[in-house]
Amino acid sequence: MIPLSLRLTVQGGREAVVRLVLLVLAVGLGTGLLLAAIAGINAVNTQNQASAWLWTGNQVEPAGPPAAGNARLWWHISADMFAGQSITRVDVAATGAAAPVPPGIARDPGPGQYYASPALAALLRGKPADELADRYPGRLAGTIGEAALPSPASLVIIVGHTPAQLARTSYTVPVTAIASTWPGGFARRFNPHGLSIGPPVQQLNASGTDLVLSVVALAILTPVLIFIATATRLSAARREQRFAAMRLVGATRRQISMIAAVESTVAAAGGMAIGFGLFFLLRVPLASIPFTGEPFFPAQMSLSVLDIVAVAAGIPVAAAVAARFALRRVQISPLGVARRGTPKPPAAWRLIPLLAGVSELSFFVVHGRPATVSGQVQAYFPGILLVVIGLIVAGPWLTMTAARFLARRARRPGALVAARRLADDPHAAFRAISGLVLALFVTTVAVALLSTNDATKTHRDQTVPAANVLTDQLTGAGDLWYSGLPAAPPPTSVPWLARVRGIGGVTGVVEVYADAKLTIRPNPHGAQVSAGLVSCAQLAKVPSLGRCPAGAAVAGFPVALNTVQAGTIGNITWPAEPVPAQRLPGRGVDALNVATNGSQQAIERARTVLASAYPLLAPPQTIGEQIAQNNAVNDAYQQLTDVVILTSLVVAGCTLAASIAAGLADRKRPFSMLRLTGARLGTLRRVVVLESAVPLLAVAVVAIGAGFAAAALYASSEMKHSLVPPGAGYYLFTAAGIAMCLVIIAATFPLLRRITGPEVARNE
Amino acid sequence: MTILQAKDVVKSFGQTPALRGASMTVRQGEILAVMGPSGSGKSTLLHCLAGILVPDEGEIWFDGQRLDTTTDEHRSELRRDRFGFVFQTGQLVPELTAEENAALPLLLGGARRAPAIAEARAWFGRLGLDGLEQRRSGELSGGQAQRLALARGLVTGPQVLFADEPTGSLDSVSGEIVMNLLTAAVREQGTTVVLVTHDARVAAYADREIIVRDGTVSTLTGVQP
Amino acid sequence: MSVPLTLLGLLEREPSHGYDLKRDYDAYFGRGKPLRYSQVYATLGRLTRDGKATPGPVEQGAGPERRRYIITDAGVADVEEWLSEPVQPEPDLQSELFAKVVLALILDRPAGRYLDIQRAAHLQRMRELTELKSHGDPLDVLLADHALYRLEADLRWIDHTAARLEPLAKAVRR
Repeated sequence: MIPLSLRLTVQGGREAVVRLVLLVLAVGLGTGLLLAAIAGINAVNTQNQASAWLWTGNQVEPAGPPAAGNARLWWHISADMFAGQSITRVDVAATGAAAPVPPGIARDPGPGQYYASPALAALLRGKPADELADRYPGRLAGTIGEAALPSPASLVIIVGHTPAQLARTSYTVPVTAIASTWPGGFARRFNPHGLSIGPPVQQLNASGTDLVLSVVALAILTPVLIFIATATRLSAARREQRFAAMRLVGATRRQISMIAAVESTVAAAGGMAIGFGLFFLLRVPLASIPFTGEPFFPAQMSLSVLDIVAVAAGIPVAAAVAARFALRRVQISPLGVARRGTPKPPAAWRLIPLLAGVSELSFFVVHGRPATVSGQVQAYFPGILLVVIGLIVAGPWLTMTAARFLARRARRPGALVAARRLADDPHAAFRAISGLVLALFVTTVAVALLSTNDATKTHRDQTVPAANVLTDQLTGAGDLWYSGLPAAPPPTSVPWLARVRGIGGVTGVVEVYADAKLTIRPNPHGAQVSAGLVSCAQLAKVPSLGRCPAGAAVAGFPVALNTVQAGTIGNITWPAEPVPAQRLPGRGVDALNVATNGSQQAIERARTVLASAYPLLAPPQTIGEQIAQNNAVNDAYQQLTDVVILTSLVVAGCTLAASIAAGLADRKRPFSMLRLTGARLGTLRRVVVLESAVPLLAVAVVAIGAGFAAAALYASSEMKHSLVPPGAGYYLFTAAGIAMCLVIIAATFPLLRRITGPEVARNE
Repeated sequence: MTILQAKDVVKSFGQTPALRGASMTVRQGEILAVMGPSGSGKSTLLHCLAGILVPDEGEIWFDGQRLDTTTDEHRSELRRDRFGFVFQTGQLVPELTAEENAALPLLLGGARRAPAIAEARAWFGRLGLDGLEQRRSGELSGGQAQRLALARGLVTGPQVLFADEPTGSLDSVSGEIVMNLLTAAVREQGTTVVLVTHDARVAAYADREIIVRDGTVSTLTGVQP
Repeated sequence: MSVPLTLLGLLEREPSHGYDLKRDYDAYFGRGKPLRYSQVYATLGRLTRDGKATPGPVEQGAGPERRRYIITDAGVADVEEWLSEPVQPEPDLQSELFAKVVLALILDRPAGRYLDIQRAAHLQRMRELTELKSHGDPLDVLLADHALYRLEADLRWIDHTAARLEPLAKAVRR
């Protein structure tokens, strides 16, 4: 039986070979994408795991003195920045030889030593010392190994100190062991005696990324699956005829299933080999693309043995099952296509999964979202999945309904033919455009969510006048991260301020003096924020930070500039305060704003001076860098979405073209007869267009609606914000997508002309 | 001796009744012509007799066993091993060569390829198909295709050959060749033939005829069909 | 079956004795009904009288008078004309069956059953002819085919008539 099946699979002539090749390619593409998605998820988890040790300060420590043989390690973690890239800085002081050692290095750095990641070591060597290396006391003792680094681009530094230097500083804790498991996000339960801040460089939270990558994988794979289904149905009529002939001479149903299964398995095996090949070829280039913000080490994009076995076994099995399923209709009769009844029309119950998905998401609006991120994944993923499946299931019913409506109102013959054919077999019609519909849904959801996300941020625009102002909080008061621990008293003297002012490119310095009780409202409808006092003389030199009222000498000014909408800072007139200017210097300085001309030199030098003056506080960031950081996650999602949408559209376009071509080939004779008996080519063209356009428009409307509904529900439950309508770009893009479909349909017109020529209607 | 029998067979397709109480017998070794106007149900009767369709009511008997109540698998095996089929068109598998097509029932029955092909080739000479062993069915003329179908129908040495308009798409010369070969082969093997045709000259090759009119079976002379 | 023209055609092959002509005629066209010698010589006489053939010189030898007959140009022309002109379709069978059907309808008898009986007879005859063809020589086959096609044509007319018995009945029972 198997040799016969193989012969049937391979020997079928040009039409069958085309079909086999298309199937193999489609399965290959799908397998490659699946493997990439799995490897991506593995890589993200590995990345997160590699940064587990940075959470050492948050993990729970056993009470009491350290066990025998264990010495404590003083641990302090802060963030640094260079040219817009984050640097994670860990300051450690070992109290004994048996103190725990972070991964990637052989021993703890002593005072005057530091270890840096290879990328940071390269920067340290390459850049002028007064821009970077002067921040770190001592000299480079070695590089940090790969095991401790999330990414080849990671900038990490471990600086050694004496215990006396670290023990009494704020945000420093003693630890007896290095954290080895990633806590899965900022959990509420952390060491009450430990740090209340997390490592500054946070990957996209892994469960969140799992959700995102799973949705991405689903969104890319679904059009590929639809393409596979369409390719499988190519030359379906001929294959049915062939199977019917075999049934006539006595093939049992099981034998027919076996043949179909062998056919599918051959295609699946070939496709799988291609898919694996594609993946291993592209693994290294793929790893260097920063999907999650940072590139992967190639080794991180790996597949476990279980992954490989599951895919290698799963795909042929799925193919065989699908083949079995697709053959149901032929199982019925050895008389094959000679006597084929009209397939049953789709029933209204098909709307149920779609409605179920939407109500599942609504449930979480009412009920409130689950507490943990993994709980959120479990909540939203099924809902979104149901909506996606619901669209596919409901599609034929929507197509049939639209077709019946068109049939009632059709005046011209072309419309009538199209409407009747659609109403007769809506499944086939919907299958052709289902990929596009899904792409529309995904686009709608993604764009709507992203624009809503933008609206929840306080600022988006990077080109604000204050972009080049370095802002530094010297006490941390007013910043949301810090809580509970006593803040260090503000420094009262800033002797090195003259050095800062002397850096080429620094255009002014505004000191914000402490005033414990002062709050102001910088934006008219915004919140009250903690504020300090500034000298109007200093403020006058930095117009991008606003102005004082006329005649005032001292004004109130926010301590943390990121609480003000960046675009508005320059236009604000700060409220005058009745404090004489000469009383200011005695107060502590809560924050410092250094205006620069924007050159990297000036910014980094100023940063270095401030960092060396306050080595254990996070160095200042420019307003522009803060905005960019806030947008980083959004931009990453945007990038992923673009990839998904583009891939979906390309694959869906191929599916549409293949479907139309197959439909035309199936109806060669009826169409040529129509032409011979006087129907114009234009009428036939109108039929072809309507057959695709009607289901597309009917289901697209529902898909877009469902997309907005799903996004709105997710937004109001997860982001606690009502949906913001997307900008003009979305509407243009959607229109372009639909226009692309029309172009694809029109591209099949030459085929229509050729295959309905008179020679097709010969009686041989 | 009766080899095939239909008793009060009723079969409808949707709303359309094709057979309404058809009864007839087929004697072993005879060539029986089933005639009647188009749409009368003759092909449906043949399909029911051959186990391709299951009647809605009534009984089909083959060689002492009920055919209409057995499983689809059993009926498939009967069609493979004990029946042969020559229909008007469209029963050859385009992906297989001529000799593979002819050997198909043997291959489906689990025979190894070489002996099955050899068995099929034995028929090629008798049916004037020499030299065509490796051709695909699409490359054969109508007459050649029907003779190939005949080879396939006879390759298992069947007890009954079912022919439905076997010369319907052929010109008169090719048709006569096919009918001559068919009758010579079945006479030699003692095969029973059920031959559906509306063509009197084709029916003239049979030993007797029955008429299917409006879903029932009768004869021209009033004897039992 | 025109005997004079057939003999004339045989003569066109070569000049022949009457004896040879009879022998050839019986072999090709006789079909079990051989020509009488008297008929042969009478026909030859008529042909000579009409100028289509001429008798050759008497040949000496044993037996009755032996002469070869020779075809004339007029005879050749006659043969040519006969060969190239179509035969009249003979309506004999149809007219008898036609009469039977009409009568049956007038007398309100089961015309359909009579047609069926006729069909059965036709099919039986066709069976016999088909059987004959399977081991006959090519000339036998040719004749049998001719008969088969005519029988088939009759059957077609019978089918057609059987389908229209109702309106026919109305027409005859005016």
